[in-house]
Amino acid sequence: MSDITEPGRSGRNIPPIAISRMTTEVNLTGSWKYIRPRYEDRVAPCNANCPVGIDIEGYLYLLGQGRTEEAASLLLEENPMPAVTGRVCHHPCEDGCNRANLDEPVAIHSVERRLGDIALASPPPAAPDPARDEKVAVIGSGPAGLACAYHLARIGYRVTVFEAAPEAGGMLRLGIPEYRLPRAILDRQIDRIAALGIEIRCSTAVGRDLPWSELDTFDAVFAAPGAHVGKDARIDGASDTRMVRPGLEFLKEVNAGGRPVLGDHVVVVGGGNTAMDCARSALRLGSEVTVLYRRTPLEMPAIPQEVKEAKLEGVGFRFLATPTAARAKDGSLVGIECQQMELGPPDESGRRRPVPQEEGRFSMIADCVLTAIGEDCDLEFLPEGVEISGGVAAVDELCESTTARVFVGGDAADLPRSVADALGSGKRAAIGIDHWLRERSGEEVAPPDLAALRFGPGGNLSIARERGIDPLHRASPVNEVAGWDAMNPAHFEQAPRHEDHFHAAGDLTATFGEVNFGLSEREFRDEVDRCMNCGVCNRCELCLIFCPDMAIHRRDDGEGFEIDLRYCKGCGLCAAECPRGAMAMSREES
Amino acid sequence: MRELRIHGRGGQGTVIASKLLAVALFREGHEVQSFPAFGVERRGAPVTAFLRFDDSPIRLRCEITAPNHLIVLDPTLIDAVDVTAGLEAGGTILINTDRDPASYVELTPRFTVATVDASEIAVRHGLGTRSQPIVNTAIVGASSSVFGWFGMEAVEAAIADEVPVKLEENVEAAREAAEAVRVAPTGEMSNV
Amino acid sequence: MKKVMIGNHAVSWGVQRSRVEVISAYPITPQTQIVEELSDMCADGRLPARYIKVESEHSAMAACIGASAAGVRTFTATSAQGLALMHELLHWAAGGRLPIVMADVNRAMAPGWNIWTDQNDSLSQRDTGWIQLYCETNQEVFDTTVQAFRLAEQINLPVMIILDAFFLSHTSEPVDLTDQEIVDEFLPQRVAQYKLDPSDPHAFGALVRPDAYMEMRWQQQEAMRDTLRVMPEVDEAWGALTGRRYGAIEEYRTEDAELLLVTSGTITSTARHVVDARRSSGEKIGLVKIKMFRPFPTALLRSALAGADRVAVLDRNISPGHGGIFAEETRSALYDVPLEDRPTLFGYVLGLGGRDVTPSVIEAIVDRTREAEAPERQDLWVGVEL
Repeated sequence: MSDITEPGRSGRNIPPIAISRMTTEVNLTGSWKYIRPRYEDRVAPCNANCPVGIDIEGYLYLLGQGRTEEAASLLLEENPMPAVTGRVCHHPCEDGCNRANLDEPVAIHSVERRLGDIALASPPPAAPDPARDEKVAVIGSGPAGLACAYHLARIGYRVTVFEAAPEAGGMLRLGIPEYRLPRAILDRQIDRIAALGIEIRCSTAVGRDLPWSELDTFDAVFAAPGAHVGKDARIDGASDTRMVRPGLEFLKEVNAGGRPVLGDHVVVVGGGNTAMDCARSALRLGSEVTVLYRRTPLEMPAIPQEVKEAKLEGVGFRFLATPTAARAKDGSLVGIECQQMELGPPDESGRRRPVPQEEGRFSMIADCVLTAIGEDCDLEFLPEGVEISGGVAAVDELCESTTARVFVGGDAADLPRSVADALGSGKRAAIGIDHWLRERSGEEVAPPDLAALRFGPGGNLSIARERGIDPLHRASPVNEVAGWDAMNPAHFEQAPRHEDHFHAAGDLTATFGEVNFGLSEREFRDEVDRCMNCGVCNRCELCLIFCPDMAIHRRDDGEGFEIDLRYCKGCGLCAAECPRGAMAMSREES
Repeated sequence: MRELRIHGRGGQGTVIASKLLAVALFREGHEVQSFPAFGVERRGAPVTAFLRFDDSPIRLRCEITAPNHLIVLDPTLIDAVDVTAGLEAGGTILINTDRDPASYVELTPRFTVATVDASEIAVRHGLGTRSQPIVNTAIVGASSSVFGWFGMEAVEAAIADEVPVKLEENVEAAREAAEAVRVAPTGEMSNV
Repeated sequence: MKKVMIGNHAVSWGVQRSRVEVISAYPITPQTQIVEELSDMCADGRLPARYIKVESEHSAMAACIGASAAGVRTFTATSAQGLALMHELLHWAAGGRLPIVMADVNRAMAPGWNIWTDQNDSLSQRDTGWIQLYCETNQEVFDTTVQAFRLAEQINLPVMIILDAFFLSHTSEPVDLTDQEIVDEFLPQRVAQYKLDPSDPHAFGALVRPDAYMEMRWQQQEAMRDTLRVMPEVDEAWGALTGRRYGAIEEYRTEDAELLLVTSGTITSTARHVVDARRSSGEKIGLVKIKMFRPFPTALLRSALAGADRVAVLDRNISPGHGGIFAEETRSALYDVPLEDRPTLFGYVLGLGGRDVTPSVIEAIVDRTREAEAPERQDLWVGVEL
């Protein structure tokens, strides 16, 4: 047995607390591992869902870092008009948002709108150096045409846009009412695109004002004329009156500043966005409006928010009904006969086809009927060799038609008809035209690696990827979408989504002023913070914190981390704790 | 040493009333100690608070079972609770009521009764609601004239220290209550 | 500046004056007002400290341990079950030699669920290595809070300041809030002996083998022994600045006393009242208040009690299966007193779960202690009606 303690004799120097007094660096714990972690950024589902092909997760990350200018610049890399899309896009990005599994999707459209407005307030971009000699003609200054012109001009091509209408904008100006898209915003957005050195020639319809042969001086042509011919609703007796009108024609008149007299009772036929725009515009002209739609609310193709707002503003809806005949008296419409429908078996679109219900006839008082059951394209002006199929041009992935030098896109190609799809189409055409022209000029260029340029396996192409721009310094990215399974929800707290602020519905019918005010600055910041950066390292440092061997270090350039494999023993904590699925483990080579 | 007990209901400001009295007395140079009856508090339930003061440091740290005086913030408590339990004979009971003090014939033979309609004064100054007036500042004002231990200046200072809102209204309520209070000395017979 | 305030706020102000840098706490009755006020002070700028919200007392102490190990002045407060939940981390704080200061508002342990005062919560933490200081008045609460930081930081041990639920925590009385300049003079900025420092990285709290564990414990015990010397020095330094001193124990009218009461907490005040009354009728009676329970002031207590005939220890606590805890510790302290000087000890258990201890209760104890031939039991329970 030891002596009774008499301290201070032994000379041993034991500290009063449990504290390490030498390094363990000599223990190269990395020699134990048979699997190793790596940083491997993936694709956020918002990006994969975006028809434009925007690096949404990327600009949200930059915003989260307070790098607003870089965020705007990354957004503008893919999308020439964010202040427009932030207002009118149907935002499928939000349908994919992983956050819906935790609480609600991030209000991406609201963030994009605000960031778009910030970009709009900055000085206009300088025209890029004309690095290429070739000239490209773009037919149509809608979203597809302007997107193609924008991307080509940024590469250095000389671009001329031909627009049939007196002002540029295509369907954005002709079809979308001002209360959804203020003209000042649209004008400034188009001015900034033109500032890249693009010539826009308005009131110049190719085929009417300018023969196609005049385009021979251009090295390539992108035709994006849009779909402007309203489908015939086949209402008996409609020709007896001028008050059964194509809805798009009515919208064009109103959007050009006209204020037509429609009468007290207006019936809008159709369930898409054009129908909603007609109904809400007619309401603003003082009419009582009823929308007739032959299917049920579930099948309506309109953006749900538009339908909701129409209802709030006082538009009436009658579902499973279609007009059959107009009753006119002395050229004035007095009413319409309608057929009650019911849903039969599914049609080729997968939706249940409406079929007439026996005995289901009724009539409605109507001073005006606006038909909005879809639009067709007028492609007569295209040269003969361009194959037309199903009313649209047959084109490949990069919008190349069956005739050399001619590319077709936007509503004139087989696409969902949305602003976002048109913007995406214009971008693909720009990539296609650039490649085609380079190949023609004898450059040795490999065909674009479409799989690599896509956001995820099915997303649109990224021009930033093609040009090698990555302000996020993504680590060894793989083109795989980070779904909810990839996420570690333990690291996220619930936070409710902010909804846009709207003009009170009661007092807006007399005005075409903007109804959606978007988010406040604080709400905008909150939404940025709600983004989980799915699949992409956002430098949260949890890997570094969790590593039991302190084998993870910040990189000197501040862009991410490096793993000291001499000490990493392959425990996998870093990858398991990564909140966003931006790490992976792989087996050691034996 | 003087000992006081205050009866009220949760939400009337009973505990703050005892604190206000303590601060006013402290400002007049006394040693003071005030505390609530310890327990769980609930709106509307009977609440008791205590006050001791003296000229030398207070040694006792236990509840008050034999007070010298009473304050009753809600007159319905007189029937619901044995408020006079342990009250020293000849002590004063200050009651928040619109009744005449002499009408408390069951109390006047043994105690001095003082009354003031603190609820009415409080509501008139926007303190609480008609169904739930906050009467503590008014009752402290009334205490100033009934007991004569501290002046209105001390009351005003106490309110400024302890009541975070509606300073002017509270001071005015205290002043009015000091004027309005009526007293029936011990032994006075009812004339109603 | 003298202000009428509750004991809980006296703690908050002591913390404010001590320029604490990190606070982490979880609310529990009857302590909540302490941290509520501190949270307000942090929010409105009266106290430029970081207030860390947590989901439990265990985490609160963990946060304090982290902050204190990083070298900053750290405070928390709790009560009863909350203190019990902290138990494991109380060892970590003391073994890590971290000068954390904690206020414990003495509340009876459940079950039966009870929010009123007794000392079993703090006394259950007796062997965790914390210094324990029991308070009698709100002024003492404020003074002890400020003193606690200097004491803790001088000897690198955590300090628990203990105040009775309601009788102090919720009772308003005048407190002299010593001016900031005076507190600053008394309490210099903390200089940590060991701290987490990225520029000099060490692992803290790692494995200690049998060949070093006892040496660590020995040094902890040495620090406790040092505290017996340092605590009165700190108290004296504060007394020199403010005129207020408390001592590890206080002897009250003990000269020539035949019967001595031994008390702690607020029972002391009421007992002083009884002592004064009995003295004025000529009884030789006095009182010894124990302020510091750990380290136990054995020598001081021995000299204060030796020579009296009888000692009555009043315990608002019980060690089940043994007796009142202050009584047992006092009995042990008296063992080395020669038999002829050794007083007879009566251990009374009273006031559990907040039961009121009035002057008449103490009068009865005095009479019984004087009249009984000897205590008929190790623990004499007062007022149990079954």
